[in-house]
Amino acid sequence: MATVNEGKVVLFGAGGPVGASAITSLKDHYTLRVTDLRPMTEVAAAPPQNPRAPIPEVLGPPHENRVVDITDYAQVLAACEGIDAAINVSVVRPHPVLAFQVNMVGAYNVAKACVACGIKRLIHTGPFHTSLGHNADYWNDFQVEADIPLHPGADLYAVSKYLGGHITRVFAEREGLEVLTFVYTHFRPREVLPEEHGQGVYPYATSWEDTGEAFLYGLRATEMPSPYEDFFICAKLPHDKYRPDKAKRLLGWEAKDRFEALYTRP
Amino acid sequence: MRVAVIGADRPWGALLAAELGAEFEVVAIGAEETSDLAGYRQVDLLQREALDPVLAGVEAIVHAAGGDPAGDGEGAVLDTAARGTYVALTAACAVGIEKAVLLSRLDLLRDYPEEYIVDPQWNALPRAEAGSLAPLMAELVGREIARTGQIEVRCLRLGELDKETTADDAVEAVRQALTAERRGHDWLLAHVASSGRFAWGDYGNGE
Repeated sequence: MATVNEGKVVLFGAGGPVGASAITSLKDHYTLRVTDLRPMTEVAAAPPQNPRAPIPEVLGPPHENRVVDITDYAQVLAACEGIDAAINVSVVRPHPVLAFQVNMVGAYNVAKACVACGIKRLIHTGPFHTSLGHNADYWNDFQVEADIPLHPGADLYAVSKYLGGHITRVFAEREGLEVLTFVYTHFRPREVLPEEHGQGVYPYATSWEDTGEAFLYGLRATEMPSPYEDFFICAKLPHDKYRPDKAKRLLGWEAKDRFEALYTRP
Repeated sequence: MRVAVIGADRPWGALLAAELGAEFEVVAIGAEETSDLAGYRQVDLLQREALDPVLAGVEAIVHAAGGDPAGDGEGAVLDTAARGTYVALTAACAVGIEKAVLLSRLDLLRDYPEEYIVDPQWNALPRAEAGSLAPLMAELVGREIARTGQIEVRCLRLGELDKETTADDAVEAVRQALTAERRGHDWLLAHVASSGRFAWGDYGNGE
């Protein structure tokens, strides 16, 4: 049984806003080993990724903060020792070398270390690029479900994360590791400011708060139908373009924030 | 036709660079410093800045370094396969090359039971090891870049040289792939096996 109701959880790439959201939602339920390439104190002191994005809280004991270079297998392995579940929210977007190193080799290192340490559940994360400018990017489709194969095309960020996803899938199918992959497109704060009312919302959108809470559901969900499962982690919106129903069905998670104020006339 | 063989320092690449010269104007490049091939040039295959100028005037590429990547350590093997293929194909697209042949490995299907008749319509079944995953990484990059419609990528899965796949069959398969007219899908996958479990019918049933 891969369900993780308590115990220790390691976060990789926790210095970003998705990691910050995960820390907020998990810190009272698990003992966290929070890792990033930079010290978490340094991350927390830096400006946010964008003005309304969350900054990670620096946790004290019993939690642990650790500097880990995800491209270094020995460091990843050490970070997985004694751990019950792993969450990989690491990402590098535009760099032509590091994108492959972090998004693909990093995913390999995490999956391999999970298997080596007997970790049964890994939550992997990645983007769903909804508009890549080619005819197979689903941009013109509706009622798109989470089980579609992604088509990243030639986009560096999209394709390097896509390769990392495939690597975790192979580990899941071959090594008994259960991998849940959460995919995202557009994040925003829960709070809708008065000046935002009626401004519209991207058809694949998730609040930071819901983003964090999904990890709690991911860890606690019962055994998955298959060792590798993809999930759209987004609000169910009336556009009916992207459907997060699978997350509700298998994880019991659904977004609390539906952003009605954004898509209704003030 | 001017054809760049990328990875001419690898066993299949060296063979093809030598043999294709009878019909094509071959530009042989690889990561290693030297080679016995006439006109061979060392190029950093992981850097667009290094590869772009070499592809000027080239009409097609044969990428032999993705399915059989060199690398010191697991990360390097994966990186050479994936990033190397990404660099080669995006560089090719950038200069307007419309045809690529990507060499991969029949090993991706080796773990299906021996009694199965396995053709290119079967899903790849790599092991959770860098060396086994590497050719899949190259294939996925090739398939995705082909999906943009800028370049036709014909992927040929080969067996071990002169055991499962003879040199003559490999050269002929690459020659056919280079000269075939572009039609239908931009990603085409075929098996090139001269003997053994994958040798049945013609060069696979890709398209």
